[in-house]
Amino acid sequence: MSLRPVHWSKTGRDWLATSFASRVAFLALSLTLGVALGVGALSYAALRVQIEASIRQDLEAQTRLVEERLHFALDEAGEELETLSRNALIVNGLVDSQGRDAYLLPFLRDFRLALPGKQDIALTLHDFSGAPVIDAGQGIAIAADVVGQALASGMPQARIVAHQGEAYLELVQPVHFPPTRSIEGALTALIRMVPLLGSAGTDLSEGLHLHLRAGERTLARTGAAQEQDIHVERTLRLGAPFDALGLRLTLASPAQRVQGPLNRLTLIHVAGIFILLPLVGWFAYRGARRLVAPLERLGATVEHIAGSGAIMAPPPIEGPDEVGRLADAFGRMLERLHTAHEELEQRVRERTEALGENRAFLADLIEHSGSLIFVKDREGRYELINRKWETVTGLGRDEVLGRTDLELFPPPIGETFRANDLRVLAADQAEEVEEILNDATGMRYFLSVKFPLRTADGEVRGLCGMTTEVTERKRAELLTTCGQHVLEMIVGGHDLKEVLERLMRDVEAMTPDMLASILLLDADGVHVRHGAAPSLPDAYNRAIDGAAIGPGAGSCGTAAWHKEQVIVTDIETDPLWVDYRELALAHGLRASWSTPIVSPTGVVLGTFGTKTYAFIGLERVGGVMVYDVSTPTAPSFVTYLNSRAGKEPGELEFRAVLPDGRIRVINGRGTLECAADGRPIRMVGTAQDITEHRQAEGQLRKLAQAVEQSPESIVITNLEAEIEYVNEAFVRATGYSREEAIGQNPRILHSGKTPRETHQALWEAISHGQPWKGEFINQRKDGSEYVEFAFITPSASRMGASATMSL
Amino acid sequence: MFPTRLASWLVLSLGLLIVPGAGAGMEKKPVHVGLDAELEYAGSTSAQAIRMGMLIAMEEINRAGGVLGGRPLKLIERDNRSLPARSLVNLKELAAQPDLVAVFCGRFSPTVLEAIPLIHELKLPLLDPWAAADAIVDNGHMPNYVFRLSLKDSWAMPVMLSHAQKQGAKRVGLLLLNTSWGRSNLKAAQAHVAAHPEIRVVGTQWFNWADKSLLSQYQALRQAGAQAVAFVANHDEAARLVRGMAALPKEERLPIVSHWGVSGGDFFQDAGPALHELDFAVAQTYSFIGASDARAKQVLAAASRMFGVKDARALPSPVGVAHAYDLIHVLARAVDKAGGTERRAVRDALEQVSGYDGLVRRYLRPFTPERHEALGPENVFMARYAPDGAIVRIADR
Repeated sequence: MSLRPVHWSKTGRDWLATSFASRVAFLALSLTLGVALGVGALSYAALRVQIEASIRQDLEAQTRLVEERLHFALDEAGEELETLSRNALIVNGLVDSQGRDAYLLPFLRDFRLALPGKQDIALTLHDFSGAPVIDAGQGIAIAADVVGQALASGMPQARIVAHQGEAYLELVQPVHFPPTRSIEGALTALIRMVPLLGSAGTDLSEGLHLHLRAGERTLARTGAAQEQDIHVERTLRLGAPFDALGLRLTLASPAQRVQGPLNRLTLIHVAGIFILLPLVGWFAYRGARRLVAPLERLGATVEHIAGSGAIMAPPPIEGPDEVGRLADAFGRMLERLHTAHEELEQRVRERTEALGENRAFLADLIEHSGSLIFVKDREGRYELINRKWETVTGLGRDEVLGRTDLELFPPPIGETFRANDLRVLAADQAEEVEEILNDATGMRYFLSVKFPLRTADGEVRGLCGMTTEVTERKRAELLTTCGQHVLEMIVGGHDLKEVLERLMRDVEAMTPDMLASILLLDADGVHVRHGAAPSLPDAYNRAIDGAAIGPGAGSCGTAAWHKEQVIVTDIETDPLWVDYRELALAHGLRASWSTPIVSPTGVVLGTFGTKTYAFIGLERVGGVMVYDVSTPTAPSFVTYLNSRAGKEPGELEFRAVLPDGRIRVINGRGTLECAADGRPIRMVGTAQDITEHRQAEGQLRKLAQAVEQSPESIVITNLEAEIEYVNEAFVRATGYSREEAIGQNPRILHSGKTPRETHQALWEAISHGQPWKGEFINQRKDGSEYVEFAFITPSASRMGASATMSL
Repeated sequence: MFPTRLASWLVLSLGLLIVPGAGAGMEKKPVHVGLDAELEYAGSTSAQAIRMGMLIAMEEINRAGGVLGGRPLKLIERDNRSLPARSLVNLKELAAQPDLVAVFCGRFSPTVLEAIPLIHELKLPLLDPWAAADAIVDNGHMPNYVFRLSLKDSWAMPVMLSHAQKQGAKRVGLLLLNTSWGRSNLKAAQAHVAAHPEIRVVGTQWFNWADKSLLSQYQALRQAGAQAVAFVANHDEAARLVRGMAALPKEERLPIVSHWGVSGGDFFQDAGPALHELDFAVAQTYSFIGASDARAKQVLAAASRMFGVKDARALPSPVGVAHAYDLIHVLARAVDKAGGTERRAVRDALEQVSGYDGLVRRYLRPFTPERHEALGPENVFMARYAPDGAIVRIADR
């Protein structure tokens, strides 16, 4: 029938867990108990310290009292003994030993020091050797050495001696013998210690332990002190000669004297706790119950809401406290929740409509985009294409959707597309690829951005691409590349045939299935000469060479004649190609596109890529100048081809007047190529605009002159501190000739008297590229000294590789 | 000091001169005589007087060929400061000295009394030129090693009391030093009063060595009805009494009859002019003043020669000089009679010496086995301090 403890503790935990009031009451009880115990422990400790201190103080006062009384008593005894030693009767006694029994012995026997317990004092008179003359010592042994010390020193001596288990103070006073003014004896007083100490206050109040020691000897002891008792020890200061006794007094108070009050305090404290705890528990529980009552009502409301699903405000809670505010706030929250719920539903409806609109917009955007847009699944089957895609490829939606590139495009193109798709899928990120489509209009270049498409759970399900046609831009790039090649070749001194061949190859590269040729118009302006046609058969070229231009003279001849572009779509049928049809057809040519290269002002202009060049013939000097005229307002000189110089490379410097009137200085170098009969064919070389160079040379010359003629010494060194240049003033100032100075270190000027700090500061500045100025004490070649103010600056050479220092 | 040194030097020189002339066979080994006295005692002249008498006599003897056929007498001194304890130590040292035949003591009876048992233990002859206590000689020892050539208390007190009586005093007060010497005098006084009913002792007062003042005791005697005071004291206490009495009204100053202890020191100087305002008589046994015999002149001449003493009036403690002088002559005769330095023989010989015409008196036999006192009551007289400090005999009326 008995309940097990575990059962109780479980019940207690449940009780705590289910009721906030229980927890508050429990907490209050714990806190109260903790504080009460803490305060109790602290007061216990504090009281203990206080009681101990007070007892200690008490003991110290007692030891002081004992010391003072003992001091007083012994002082009295000492003084009295000294007075007695001066007594005429005592002096008499030293001389008159016959009278000792008659009067001195009774005198000494009856004499009493002014001490407590007078009957316990025994006096003895000693002669100069320490032997007792008159012994009233009642048979107590006197320490002879103490008497000896007193006689030898003339000073009183004290010693503790024992007789029959009792301690005596032996006090020896030397006797001064007036007639001879010497110490001729000593007076010894033996004083029983017990009454002396008793009167000095060692009969202490009950319960105290006393221990008086002289050195290691115990003189008085009451009770036996325990280890835990409170001890006070004092070395008694009693003045000479009593300090020599080394009296130490220990007083101890039994520990029970501390324990009594402490036990009473503990009892009161425990009783207080037993009364306090039930009160605190009851009040705390009642208070907490009252506190959580609103919460319980709130709980009921919430329970109702949870059950019904209808959000409703709880009844208002009375009271301005936290719980009241919490309930009110909860009510407001419920209201706000209700409003927010309705707003949310409204917004969901609006969003649903907007989403539908967006989807239509997006579809339109894709459909009408200027780029080709498509979506494929992982196997490359088209899922979506837009109109542009249809337009560019010419394939309809019905035939495309559900099919792959391999099915739609010829093998090389379809395979390339598929390969690009797979790479994007593998990389799992957007990529930009260039793709080429070859159709009836020729090579078409596209730039496609392809990126993987993901399902909602992040899995790649296909890819999307946006493709823009870049054919025009691609062509322009190719033309630019081509023009650069031609220019490089011209400047590099290649001959015209090579240049033209390269040009033709570049043009062919731009347009596959097209063969290119260039014909040069002869000087007569009627016949054309073979320029370059690297892909055309030699037989064809030979047939053309020397043909005359004119209307109907082939497409090139007609273009040159009319100075306009001629396009022949079918050589087989076109009348322009009557003369060369067989030849052209025999070599597989079917269509032609001819354009003349002409200048309206007689200057031949050539367009290479984005740049246009002007070729200006210079009749008088027999050369051709080439200008870049891409920017109409500022033509720049490119090269000059000279045909007049001999076979050896020639050099010519001349002034050229530019179309805008500016004058430039040109330096041309070139080699003339001549035919077998000596007729010059062409000139290969370079032309350089050296206008700025010439101007710079002029300035440098002026600067050099200024430096050379400066009245200040100027030195230029390289980074290895070797002198590279000195001016005339330096030669005059130092006595070193220019030949002696150059290649030397400026150290040759050092006198050794310039402070070391000056050189350190100089190199610190120079190594950081900063100018420096300061004073040197230097030495001439003949050894004489002079003071020089120096300004030193680092400078960069034209090469920028070595810095120099000018001094 | 110079004359003393010079004198010693002269003695030595004369000795050297005379010894060869005295003949061959003369032993050079000295015969020692000891002196154990209060040499260092402040203000005391007694020991110095005794030494002077000894040296003068020894010089005479040595000049005359010494003792034992040519051996010189030589003095060995020890200071006892009047303290028995020191005296005992000194006597033991002196007894250990070879060829020492006898020891002279000093003025203080208590010191000598304390040494009596040791003297007999050591069998050392003790010659007393001053200390007056009866018990020194009457010590009960047989054989007795103590020989006195001096005053004896039992002779002095009757003379003192008789003198007071002659001055008209019937009631006498006794003022005594609280020592065995004082008690010895009390016995003597009581013995005299018992035999002479015409004089009465009205009171006895004791004082101690080094007492600061004796006036209260003196006044107690005066108030007891004393008409004169018999005074037994040493020089320092006596000077204190005199100075104290001088401050009293004249009618309170009683005549003083004093034992001779006062003459053992600088009493005259210490007492000062107050002494002349009192009737102060002192017992004596000998005075050089007025002595006309050849021996007295010879001694005075030697004192002047050896110690620079001007004349008889300037000689301090004259009794000490006279007694010591005579004792040395007696001792020399005894040594010669003993034929050696063996002390028992010398002691026995001292009792056999006869026919010495001395300074103080003519001695038929100074000592006999029954009598160890060389002087007698007939030698005692009263004297007074002259204004120059000389002790002058009071003429019998």
